[in-house]
Amino acid sequence: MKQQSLFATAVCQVSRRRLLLGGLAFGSMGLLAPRGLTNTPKASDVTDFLILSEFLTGRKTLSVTLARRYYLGLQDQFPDLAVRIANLSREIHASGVQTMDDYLSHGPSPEARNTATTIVSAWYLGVIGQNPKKQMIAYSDALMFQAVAGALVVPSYGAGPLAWGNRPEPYMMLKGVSDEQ
Amino acid sequence: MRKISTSCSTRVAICLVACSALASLLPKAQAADVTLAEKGRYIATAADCLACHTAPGGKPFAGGYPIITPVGTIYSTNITPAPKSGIGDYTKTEFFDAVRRGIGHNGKRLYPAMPYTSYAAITNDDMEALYAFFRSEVAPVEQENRPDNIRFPFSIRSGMALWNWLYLDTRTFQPRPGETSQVARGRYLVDHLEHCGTCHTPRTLFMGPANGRALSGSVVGAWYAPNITTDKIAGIADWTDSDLRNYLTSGHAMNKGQAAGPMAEVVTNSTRFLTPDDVDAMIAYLREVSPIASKEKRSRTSYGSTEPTEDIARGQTNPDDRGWKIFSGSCASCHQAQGQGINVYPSLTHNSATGSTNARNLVATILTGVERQTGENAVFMPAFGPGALWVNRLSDQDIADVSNFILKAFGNPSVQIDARYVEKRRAELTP
Amino acid sequence: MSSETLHADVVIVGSGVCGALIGAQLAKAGKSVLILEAGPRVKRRDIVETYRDAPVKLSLANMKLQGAGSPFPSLPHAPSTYGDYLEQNGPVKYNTSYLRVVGGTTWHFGSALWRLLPSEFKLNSLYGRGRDWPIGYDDLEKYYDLAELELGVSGTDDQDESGAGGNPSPPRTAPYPMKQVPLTYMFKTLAEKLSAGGYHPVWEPHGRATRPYNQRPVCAGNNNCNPICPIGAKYDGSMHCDIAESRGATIIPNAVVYRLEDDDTGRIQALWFKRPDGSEHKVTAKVFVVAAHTIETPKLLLMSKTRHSPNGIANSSDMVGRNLMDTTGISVTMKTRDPMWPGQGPTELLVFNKREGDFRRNAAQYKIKVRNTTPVSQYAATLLEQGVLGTELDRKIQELSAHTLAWAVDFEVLPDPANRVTLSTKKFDALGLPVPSLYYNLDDYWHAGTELAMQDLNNFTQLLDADIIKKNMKFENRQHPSGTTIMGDNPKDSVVNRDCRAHDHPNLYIAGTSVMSASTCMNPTLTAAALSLRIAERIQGEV
Repeated sequence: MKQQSLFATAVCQVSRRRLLLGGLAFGSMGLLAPRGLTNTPKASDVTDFLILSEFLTGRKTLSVTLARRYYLGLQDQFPDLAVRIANLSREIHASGVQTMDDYLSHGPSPEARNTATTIVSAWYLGVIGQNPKKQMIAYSDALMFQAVAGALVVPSYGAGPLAWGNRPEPYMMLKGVSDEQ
Repeated sequence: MRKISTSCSTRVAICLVACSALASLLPKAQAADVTLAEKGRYIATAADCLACHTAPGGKPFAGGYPIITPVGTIYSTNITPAPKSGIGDYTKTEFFDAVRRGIGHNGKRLYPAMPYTSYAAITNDDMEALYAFFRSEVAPVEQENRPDNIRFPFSIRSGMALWNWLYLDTRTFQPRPGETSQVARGRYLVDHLEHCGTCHTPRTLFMGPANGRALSGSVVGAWYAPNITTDKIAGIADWTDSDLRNYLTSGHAMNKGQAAGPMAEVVTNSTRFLTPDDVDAMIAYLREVSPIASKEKRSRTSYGSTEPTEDIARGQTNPDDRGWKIFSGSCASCHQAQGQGINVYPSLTHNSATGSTNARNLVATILTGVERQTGENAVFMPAFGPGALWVNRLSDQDIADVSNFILKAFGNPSVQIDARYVEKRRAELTP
Repeated sequence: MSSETLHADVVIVGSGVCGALIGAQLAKAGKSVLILEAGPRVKRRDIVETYRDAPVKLSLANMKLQGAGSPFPSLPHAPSTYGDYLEQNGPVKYNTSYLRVVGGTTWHFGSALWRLLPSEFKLNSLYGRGRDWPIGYDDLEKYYDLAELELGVSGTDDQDESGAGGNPSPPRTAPYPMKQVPLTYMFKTLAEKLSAGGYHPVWEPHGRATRPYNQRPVCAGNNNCNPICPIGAKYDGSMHCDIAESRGATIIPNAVVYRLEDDDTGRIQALWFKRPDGSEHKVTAKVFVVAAHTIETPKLLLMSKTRHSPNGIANSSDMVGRNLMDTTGISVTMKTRDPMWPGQGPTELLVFNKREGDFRRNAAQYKIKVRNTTPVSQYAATLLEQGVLGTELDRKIQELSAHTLAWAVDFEVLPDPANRVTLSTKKFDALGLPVPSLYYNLDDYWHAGTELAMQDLNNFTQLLDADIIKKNMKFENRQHPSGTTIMGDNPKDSVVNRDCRAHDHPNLYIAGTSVMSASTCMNPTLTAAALSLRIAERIQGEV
């Protein structure tokens, strides 16, 4: 299947880039240029989007399949997506930061921040865009649920018969979540 | 509809109400050797008399349970000490002959649905105890036996004499030279009391056990009793002792398999009540059984997840894979979006039912659901077959589609089925 | 017009819990039963998947989204009440949401299954307010027992459900059929902290199985009771549709009943229903049961204007559609210092009741409940709208989810003939039938209740070390409608008698919460179910 081989290529490239560039890996981002309206992005576009998404969300193992679907969906709703991504990437690259938190404290431009929020919203909510053009991509894979995983289930996916009662402890341990007595 | 819904058969699901009522009859997991009858209770439990001799929702040991065989439906008999319809007027010799020789009252031959070829080796001491238990501890229930529905020529019971000559070994149990006492005890339990071979050993053309292929797996109605020999691929060599212990005592071995259908009844009524020593003895013996290979190339528990279909298909109005859609709506709420399971909900990957070389246990489980009693807890998966609530019910095509998806995504992808296959399994579940 | 006339001993309009229960009981008794349902028959897996695929997920915790996002179908012949189907005329919006599918609105109910207290049948004689029921608790007790068995209720034995912390009440002859679910960390913590302030936690009885029960699996904490229990651990009316059908009853989905016809003796002769294609079909029966929900039942009766009943069937009193009640409420959101983690286990369980006491002369009784719906998606969306990114996003999602408590209060509403369902003169559905038009307002008695409840909630902030961060005093509809075919002994001011039989028609019964003489502040389903089982018993003696 054509789709499958595309995924395989993308996966391959991701690991290669991770290997070459370590944590920060958008060497090719600046090369992204606006292209004609097309529904079949190049594998490298998806890969770049995936790497950018991993930086923006602070996650290391985002799904290539979902990256492709978010990319397509966002492209559909934002015709200038490629330009916006290129601008955002260039700005991150120029800032020299290593993490999203550093980038945020560095002070992104309003446009870059806007693009970042659009992409992060998609991954976190599993939904692209605003009403009435909202498009559903992921439910149980939406990243917002990872923040509370271990404590709360994704609604409709139960943890088993009467499987509750202990003090909830999310897997994701974050500094500063207030739990003071 | 009702007719079908009460047909949970091939020893499938004794309803839970019955199970809880029966629980009091069964011993605690300790062989308290107090009296002869108490010892007999333990023997009866280990021999799992209850499961077959109690109809769904019926009185304990009063019979009427349909046993579906390739030659027709056999109804188990009333073995309560009721004088008219039960075994109240059996002499001790008659009782011994029935259990160990398959000879009923007035010399009438029993069908080997009653596993007397396995029971033949029960020791005299154990038979005395069993007799004492059935005489004194079982409540008499007058309930007439239901006639069998056996096809010619198997309907001629006298033919059983010849059959017995071929297949019945009348010697009582003796430890073998060089066998440890633990392995000997295990062999006594596995081969005789628990009569594992009745289901797990394939049958010959004449329905006799194919002794050269002992415990190498066999069809049981709609179900499949898998290969439990020590073969590295086909058998249970990759199950640890703790997997086997968990399986026998709770019916659930993580990333290996779960007891459903007839095996759920075995766990519910029998193996979970065995003493820890007896469970260990069974395991020790199962480790000694000769490996018997079959055609499979990979162990049935070795299949992991292949494709993240949830990522591909969620939110699509017309997902390509109809099977995924059914899986997501009917299965994923418990087995989880990627089939990985959670807590007591088993994973569909690394699972005997999905990694097998046939889809029988997968399809039969979907059709009938699972009901199993484990300690204080009832394990329950709802049925999706004819007995299911209308809002849950799946068609043959639905079940074929969802099975094919599960086999491809989580199990043995070389097994694929069609609606006709499901239809046949449905028929096999109907007495 | 119809090709043939259908006939049954008993024809039931509506396949929700009440209609289905009556159908199941009568079918078991060997009667020929026909159940007509306006909406379609749905599969659980389709609703679950529609829910998961929806970009906007409806839940009761997110009231502002009421009006969109129900995963249940909206069809031209049976429009969803989540749209703009209901016409609002009064000063207070009565935006109730009921489901027009086989099995009815219990598909999405939270499944609270309370009995009323003996005192709640006597509001007028005890406190000089509202109406007394013509029957008392003792008349209904054995039907409550039976209803709890039929619906499979899990509950806590031996607690004072009035909330006063006294002896067990109401009196029961049998324990709950199933034991209560385990308590979550939040429930335990809240119960402990608020008990210290003299509040008495009450554990809600509900329809989630805690052991396998009539093919229902055990509740697995899917936290999705509304809009759909994905595994069917929670009771819904479709289960009794199955029982009715397995005993020989016929269920016809997509059959919108629009007219009942009576004769000069007052007996109902026939009813008429339309198919989605507009075709019209006639049904005759010995006994007719209308169990079509508190809004649709009066609509049907009012549409049925006949020569003998010019104001509509059963409406000689002009009470049909009047006395519309609810347990209209308010809500308060608190931020707590310590993490509480709402969202584990089922979506509701802990309540603080104020059901009895002399205050009821002046103020509505009430029930304070804490919502246990996981709020993650709501907060994540809000945070992203605010532009929160980076680690801060995960941190805030955790913090808001763990520390935010959503309290909701339900109040008793007195029967007021001015609050009513009528037929719209402007708006019609695809079959040409008028949509329900609602007038609703709340009185000082209700407002006095809200003041008492706010005092309690302010006390809660002290006991929980919490701050109120949001308050909504604006008449939240609680989907507990009642009163529109009110029960009474006097045919001049009530629609049905103490047996739920129409005063005007000897062979017409009305089942559902619409017959209730008082709303109380409690969820009404179990009372309607008990009354339905009583109706089934009456009918069994007649046909």
